[in-house]
Amino acid sequence: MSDIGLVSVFEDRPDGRVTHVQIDGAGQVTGFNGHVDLGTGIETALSQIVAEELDLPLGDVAMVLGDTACTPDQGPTIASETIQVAAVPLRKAAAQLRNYLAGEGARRLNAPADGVELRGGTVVWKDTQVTYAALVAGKDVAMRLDPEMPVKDPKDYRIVGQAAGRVDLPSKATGDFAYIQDLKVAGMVHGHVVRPPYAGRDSGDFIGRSLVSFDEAAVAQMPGFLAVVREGDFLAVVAETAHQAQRIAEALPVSWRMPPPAPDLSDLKHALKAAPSTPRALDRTGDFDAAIGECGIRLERSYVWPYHLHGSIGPSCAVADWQDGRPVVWSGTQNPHMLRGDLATLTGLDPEAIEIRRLQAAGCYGRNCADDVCGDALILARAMGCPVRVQLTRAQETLWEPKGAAQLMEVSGGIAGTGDLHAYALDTWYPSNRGPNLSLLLTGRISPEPRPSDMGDRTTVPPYRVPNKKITVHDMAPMVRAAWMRGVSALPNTFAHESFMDELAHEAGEDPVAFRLRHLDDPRAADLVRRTAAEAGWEERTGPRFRREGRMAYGQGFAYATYVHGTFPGTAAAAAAWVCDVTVDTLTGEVTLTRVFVGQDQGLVINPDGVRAQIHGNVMQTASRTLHEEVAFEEITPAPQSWATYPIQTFDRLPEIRTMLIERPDEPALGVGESAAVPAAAAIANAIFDATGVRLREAPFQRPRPARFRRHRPRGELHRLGAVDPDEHGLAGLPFAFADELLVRARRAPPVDQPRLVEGLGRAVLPEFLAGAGTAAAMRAEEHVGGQMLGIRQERRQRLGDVMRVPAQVGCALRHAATSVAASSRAASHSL
Amino acid sequence: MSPLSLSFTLNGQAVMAGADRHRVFLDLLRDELGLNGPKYGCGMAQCGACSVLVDGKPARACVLRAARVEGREVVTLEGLAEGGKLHPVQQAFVEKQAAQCGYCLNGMVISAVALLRANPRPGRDEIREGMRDNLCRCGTHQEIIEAVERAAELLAEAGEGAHV
Ligand code: FES
Ligand code: FES
Repeated sequence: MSDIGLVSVFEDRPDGRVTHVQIDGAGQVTGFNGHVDLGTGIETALSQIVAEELDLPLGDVAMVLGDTACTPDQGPTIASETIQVAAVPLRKAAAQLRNYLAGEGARRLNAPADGVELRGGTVVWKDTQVTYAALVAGKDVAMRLDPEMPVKDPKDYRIVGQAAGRVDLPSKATGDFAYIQDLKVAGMVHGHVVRPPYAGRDSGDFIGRSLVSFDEAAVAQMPGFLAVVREGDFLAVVAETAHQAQRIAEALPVSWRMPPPAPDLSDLKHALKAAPSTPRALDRTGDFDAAIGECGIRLERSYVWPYHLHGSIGPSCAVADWQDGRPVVWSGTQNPHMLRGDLATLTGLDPEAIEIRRLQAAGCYGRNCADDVCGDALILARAMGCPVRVQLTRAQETLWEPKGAAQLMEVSGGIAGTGDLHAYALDTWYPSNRGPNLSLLLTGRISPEPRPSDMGDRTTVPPYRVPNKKITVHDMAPMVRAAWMRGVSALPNTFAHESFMDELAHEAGEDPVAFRLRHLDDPRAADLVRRTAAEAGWEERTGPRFRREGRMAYGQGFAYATYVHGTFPGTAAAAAAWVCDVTVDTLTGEVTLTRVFVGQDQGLVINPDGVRAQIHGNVMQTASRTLHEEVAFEEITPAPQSWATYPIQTFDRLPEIRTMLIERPDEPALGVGESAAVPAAAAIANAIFDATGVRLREAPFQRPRPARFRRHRPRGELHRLGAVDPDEHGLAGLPFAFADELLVRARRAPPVDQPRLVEGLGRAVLPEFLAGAGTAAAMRAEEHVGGQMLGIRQERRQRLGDVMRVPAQVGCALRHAATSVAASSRAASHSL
Repeated sequence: MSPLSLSFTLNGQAVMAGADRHRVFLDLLRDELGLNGPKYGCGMAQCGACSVLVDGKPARACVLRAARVEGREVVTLEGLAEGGKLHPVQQAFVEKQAAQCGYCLNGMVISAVALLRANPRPGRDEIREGMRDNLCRCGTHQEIIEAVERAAELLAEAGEGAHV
């Protein structure tokens, strides 16, 4: 490249020299950042920042994100900190490059250095001009980053702050864009992993030590077979095509030791408190213990948050090429540099010897299986000596992804005689860690001991003025595999804070917004709360209003949070406030979110369209999590294996969403990837309270009903979609519920037809039932353990039946509250 | 499981391909015919990421057996643009920025094309209903609905039947 010229700005960091930005002799500008685009449009926003400093059209800037060979280690792309933290050196480097180009241009044009103007890729003085490309041609200059480099005054911004179309969208719309799932590397073969029966678990003696045997000879003649690779409990088949690899993997006879039952998570509150944890004292302002005794109004409440799936629409995929011990791994990871460390541990190689090339994947919203599958591919690439691609199935991704963790919050607090919030204690339990790479656990490279982490402390301190505080996080290891998910622990913690504030306001007989404002010292936060309430049409009240029309009840709720991320005391990202409207069907308990207004203060706005898109996404996703989503568990593993048993947001649930971005061009840009999610649960709970007088302190507010999804489509629909032909196997007319019958028929079929039959049935008829043992391999495993798994499945089916009979939680709570509601709405809204 | 030889039209071109009779059409498209538009999302006809048009009707390629497309006309995301010009539905999705990660985009665009062919002027509720079996985890629903509305306008401007 340098024969055509190259000018770059670099920085020497502890982990080596990295370039932040460069321009070549053709005028092409490239920025480098260690963070990656998780589908949030960060590539566009970073390009805007570079283009702004250099006065270039947006299209002239390319970004390289997350390649370990050429981007700085800026930590994982989490906590919405790309714009806030990782973009800072990038902006300075671009400003430095601009400075250089201005100086060179002035010399070339015989102009005074401060007289030239930069515009559209040229340096201009009076009526003369020279292009950046001409200035760079033939040069080879590398400048050290000057941390003091002044950057452009936001007043002069022309690109930052303007709505910019996503740079990657047109090629995505035509199918030209290559996601990690689309990557083809020359000479690549395909691996299909066979995971152990302890799906979604990451600690205990059995991890890495449960594989008894497998029968390679039984499958070695199948078309495309190349190898079976095993290391500890890591087991995979390699074949010429992905399709062949999957068929062989499903046919491979494997016997596993039966894993011990998972912790009983049917009563989350109890399970979370019973598991080992270590209290860590956070904010201890004043003397809570004394102060709580002085409170005239005093409440103790607990709030429970369920396990969630990240639920990427595309299962994880990776390609690895061993290259004689200098491997390249193509990955959709969220944290390329961290992954490289894990892969070094896996292979014993020096991290420097491993190169991660990052490609976009389906949105991940936190840590999914993207890193695990890189370990899988690398093990196989080493064994095969050629590039190997691994893509997980939907069931593998769903079962094994580190879940968004459950959480328990206990709050105790009160109001003194003055009417002011006087004491506040929060205890929070968050059983999650950073999700150790599965390949390290399966191969036994790292021990399967429980590993606590410190991520429960996000937004643990309420944003309000309280003289006496006692905030405690109980650090604990995961009970099932769990790692960060959008909003991390801040979302459940805020569910507690903001529900509790509402409860206190009600007890104090004050309007919930006015009560908050009275305790909000930060003028920026107060401004956000005030303006959001005003713009959204907040209706003042001092208790639930029980607005009814026939059987439908209507309510409006408020919640606000400044998302504080990073280890306590943490850093603030954008602040968001919600006003939302719900409709509650008082007969069924069904809650519909009809309208959401989000006000957000993110300082300087880089790309207003991008920010609004993030707000919309946060609203849709978090409303779904709050109202409907919960991972159920079986004796051994998580229950859901497909969208049939874990329904996510759909178009018919889209509320009307309005946004208000508060403009603060002189304030630093704050991360917006998660902030609008954080107040969601409390706002919805508060709206339900306004409608019904019922307080929901346990999410989801409506338990999922697994059987309601695709399975209930009429048979003709399956035909239309081109599913398995039921006639073909004599199954026409068989009711879906006769799952056992289906399995019996599958067993009676000639062995060679079994995998196909089971898979076909699984796809067409009863996805979540058969996926439980969805393959011939699993069926054999099941026979091996004396039918234990069948027993489990039967029991599960009964439990599914139970779930279906359990009325929605709201309905249940409504019945409890029915008397007071029916008797007199006035009486119930009294304040103490 | 003897290999079948299939012939069908793919994005306007005649294609001959071999596949065993149980082969899923999505695998054939992605692995053998080199297409990237249709995506693997669930393999169970639940999410729509793999959608293609078969004789103008939306089909879920992940559960469609390859044998079923014999003699049919298949159009994928790659085949919508004509002469380097985006199909009005694609154009509307770009205009309305109707994707975050975009992994669901294939299914959304294909479903929108089919929906608008069946109902050129759908109301909001009809759009919600028509798109409801396509999943998007990023929560781009609002932008997608706006894109479908915009696409209806663009198609009307372009004149009925001018596009696939
Ligand atoms: S991949 Fe075909 S519908 Fe999900
Ligand atoms: S845009 Fe990511 S799944 Fe729809």
